[in-house]
Amino acid sequence: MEESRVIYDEYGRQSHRVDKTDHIGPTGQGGNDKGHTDPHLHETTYAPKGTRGHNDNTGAKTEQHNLKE
Amino acid sequence: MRRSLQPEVIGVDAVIRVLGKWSARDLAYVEQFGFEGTEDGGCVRIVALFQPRSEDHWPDPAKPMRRVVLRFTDIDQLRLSDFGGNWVQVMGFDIVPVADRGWESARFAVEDYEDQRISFYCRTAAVESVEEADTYI
Repeated sequence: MEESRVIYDEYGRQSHRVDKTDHIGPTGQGGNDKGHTDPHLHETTYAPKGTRGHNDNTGAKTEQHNLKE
Repeated sequence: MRRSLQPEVIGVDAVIRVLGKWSARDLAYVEQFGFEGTEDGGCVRIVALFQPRSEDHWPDPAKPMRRVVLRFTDIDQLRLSDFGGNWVQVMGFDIVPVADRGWESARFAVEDYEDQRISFYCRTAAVESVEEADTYI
């Protein structure tokens, strides 16, 4: 079971999730792909309907950030 | 020489020519998802936007996406979760060879290891086409 910590915004929506795992991919797939650091961060932002890259139903868009020492 | 019995995704050369490498984990968004019941066990066709993962954060709206069409056959245990709206983001897509598990027809496990939005087993996995035109999210 993977361990995560979730942080919610003032509206009760997930804004950050820290995954304490590298998803068995610490070295990535080559090139600039360094895979996932352990831990790594998912940051979810919300925008009005119609904003590119954001889901129309939830307004959400997530980016993964690798965390450096 | 001992040869690997693990299956490979067909047609990845087309992705390598455009993106410089092939990694199923570079799938960022699903634009279209279709399942068709066929005599050979059904097929799934995914039209997706790919962007190579970067060192720090991903996906990057400042960088282009490429449209890649994937096709899978002989589908088993298909599950979708949290699909809806216009942009279906998949943060942990992967195609994992499972031929060494000894199952009859499942040679790949297709999954979203981050949020479990996609999950199924299949016998073949192939890249159907790659659109070279840049697409920005």
